[in-house]
Amino acid sequence: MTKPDKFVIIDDDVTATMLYSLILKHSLDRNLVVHCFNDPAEGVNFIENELKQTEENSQTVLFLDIDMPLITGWDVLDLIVKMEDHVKNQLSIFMLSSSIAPADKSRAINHHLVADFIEKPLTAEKVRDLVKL
Amino acid sequence: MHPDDLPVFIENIQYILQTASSSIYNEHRLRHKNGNYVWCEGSITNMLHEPNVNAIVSNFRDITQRKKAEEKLIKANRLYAFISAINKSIVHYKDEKELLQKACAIAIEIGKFKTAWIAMMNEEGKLELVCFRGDNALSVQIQKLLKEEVKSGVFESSSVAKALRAGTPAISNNVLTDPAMNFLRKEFVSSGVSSNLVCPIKKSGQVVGIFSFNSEIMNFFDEAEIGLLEEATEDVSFALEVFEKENRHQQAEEIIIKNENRFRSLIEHSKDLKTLTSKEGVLIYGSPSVTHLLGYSTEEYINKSAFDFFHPDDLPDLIKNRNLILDIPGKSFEFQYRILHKNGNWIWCQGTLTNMLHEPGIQAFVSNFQDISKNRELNKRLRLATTSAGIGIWDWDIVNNHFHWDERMYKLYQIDEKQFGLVFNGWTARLHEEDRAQAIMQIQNAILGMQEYNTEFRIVWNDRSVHYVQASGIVERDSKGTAIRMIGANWDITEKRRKEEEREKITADLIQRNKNLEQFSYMVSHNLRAPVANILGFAELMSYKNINPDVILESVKGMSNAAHKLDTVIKDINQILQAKTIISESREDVDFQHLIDDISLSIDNILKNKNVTIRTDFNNVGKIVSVKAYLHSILYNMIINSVKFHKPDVPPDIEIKSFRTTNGVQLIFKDNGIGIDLERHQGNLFGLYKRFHPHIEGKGMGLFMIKTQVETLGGKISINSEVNKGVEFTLDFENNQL
Repeated sequence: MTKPDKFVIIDDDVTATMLYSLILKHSLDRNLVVHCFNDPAEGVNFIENELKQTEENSQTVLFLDIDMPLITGWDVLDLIVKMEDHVKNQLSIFMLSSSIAPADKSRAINHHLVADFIEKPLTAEKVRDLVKL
Repeated sequence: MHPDDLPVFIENIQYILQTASSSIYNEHRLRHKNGNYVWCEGSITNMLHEPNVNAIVSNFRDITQRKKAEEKLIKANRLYAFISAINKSIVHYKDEKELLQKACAIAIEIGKFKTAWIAMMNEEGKLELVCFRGDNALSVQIQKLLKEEVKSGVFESSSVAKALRAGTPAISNNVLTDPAMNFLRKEFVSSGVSSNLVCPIKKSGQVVGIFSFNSEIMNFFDEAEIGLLEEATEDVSFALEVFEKENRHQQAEEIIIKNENRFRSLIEHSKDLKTLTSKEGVLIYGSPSVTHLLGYSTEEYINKSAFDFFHPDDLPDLIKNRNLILDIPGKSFEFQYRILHKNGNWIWCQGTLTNMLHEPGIQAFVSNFQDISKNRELNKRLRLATTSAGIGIWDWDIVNNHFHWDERMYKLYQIDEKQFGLVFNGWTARLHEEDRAQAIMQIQNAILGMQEYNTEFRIVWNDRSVHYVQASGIVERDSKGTAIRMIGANWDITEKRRKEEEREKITADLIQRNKNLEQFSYMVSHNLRAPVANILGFAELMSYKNINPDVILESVKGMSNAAHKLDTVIKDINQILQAKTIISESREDVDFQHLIDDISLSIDNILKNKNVTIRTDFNNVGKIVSVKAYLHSILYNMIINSVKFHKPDVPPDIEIKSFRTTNGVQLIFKDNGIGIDLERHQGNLFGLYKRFHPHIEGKGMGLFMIKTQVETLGGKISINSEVNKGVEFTLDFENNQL
């Protein structure tokens, strides 16, 4: 993976989004812009509107929490599937979960839009690994 | 003078010529002018010596009448002798042919007839010459006549045919002139026959033959003679009839004897006991099996009163039933009585008693019975077995749609015979509506041979209570395979089914609880792990080199947040576990209205601030036996929920009502809040940490806790809601269940 242009985190846990934002900045670039959304609906809106305007070869990484009230990570995935290819082609999606249920992991890695499943917490090592990809 | 008398007359004349004035008696016939001879008697006297007479004087008078009478007497004597001889031989002879031959012989020898013959009908209805006395030539000619080997009309006009037709004697007093004698005239004349009489021989009024008498004397048969000969013939007829009757009687007797032997042998060898008793009840006969079964020798019971042998408890019934048929010939009744064995034991016997007093050959009550003590014993055992096992036995005569139920069946269905009606519909009427069609179909399938009859169904008693019955049965078929009878058993499995249902319920409950626990542990681990993961994340972040002090400060804040979160979750779990622990608090009468008043008072501030209305109606059920603290917590959480999720511009309005259900008490809790999208959240509604309204503060604990507590009290909770149309909870508590 070339160095991504954008990082987006969707997680209802405020503490978690703060932590991942700090870890990303620390492990990649202090001045990195990380877009955090505690409301999944806002996150979905941002992705759709923002990526429509960027070039197709730009790269955006999405860290998506699975277990959220009302709109879950899976619901967000469903919404992204319906978006235009131009948007989808720019996305690398990593599902995040503190879940220890194996069902979630297999469901995630079998989804065609999902790059990988990451067990919380996100660490600098994990970030560096995935960026190397 | 008749030539026959002339020699005697001349002799007499010569005798008196020898002596002057001598006289002699003389009988002679003189010819009348008309040619007939007249019998005369008189005296002839020699008057030759008398100068004035000088002649033989004959002095005579007509004696024809006297003479004829004399002749008749002789003839009559002869005929009487004939009849007498015939009758003697009738007594003497036992065989038809012998008798007839003798009769012919007597007619010649004693009756002094010139010829006599008898012809009898053979099996084909043709006359056959049985015996003949006289000229051979005549016999040949007669046989020709009888075989009708003659010109047509000859036989029909013959005296034989006449006698056959009329059934009365046919007389021909002059064979020379009678046209009926045409055919036999020549032979008659040559054998010296002048008169002919044919008498019919009868059996039971039917002409079966003829007896022909032939005399050399013309005009032989006058009225008297005909009468006598008819009589003689009738005597022969009678004798023949007697022979036949005797013969028939003998045959009949032989048949009777044969049948009797056969019957006797049947009786003597049959296992069944047969007795004959008089009208008064005295034993007249007993088959050998009586001795075999009951131990008495014939002498020990014959001429004894049958009543002495019956069990005292059965005797009144026997006498009653016997009296009922006493005056009805042929009537019988079936019985099951105990009969005394010689050794003092009572033997159960089953059979029939029939009134045969009117039967000439019997004139008694006929009893036909057999030992059923073994059956009785088996039945008793079976009944014991079925009774103790609660099994009812039924027997269905399919052809006549007639049922037999034993006592247990009636007990099982809690009806009497009249209500059942002993018909198929009487049974189906008792079946539970939902099981009826299936139960009937199973019977039909069994009858059709499609499946064995072994099934379960519910029945409904008169008191509307429902009972489970297990049934099995077998079908009996005739030689064509048609079902004619079905026998089966029913037994109550209500208790078994109740236990099964209870077990099923417990199992389902356990499965649900297990599922809940799984869910709980998953939720717990997830919710514990989320803050733990955050803490781990911050800890790692702080360990990085060249870390910005601002980041460390933020990390400490983040860690603190996560630790608090962790603490909250652990407290929640503690609360949940407490709610789930078996409540030791004793149940008490909880007044719904008091409960709501208590809750209202404790959150008076909130209610007033939010302008909440709580309307209650506990008129149907005011109280419930339950754990007060739990009910309090449940209703408190529900009210708080309603206040929390009210529509922005509409003050909360809560309605709580109670109802009585078949199983217990129901509470309906209704609000006018924002509601929940049930279609979307159905599976998660009562889940832990499930939140459906992110803009409203909450942990997703409320409904989970409510459900946990309701279930701990042994109740059930369900929800009905639409977005913006409020929520309606239904809480069901089973009676006195905890």
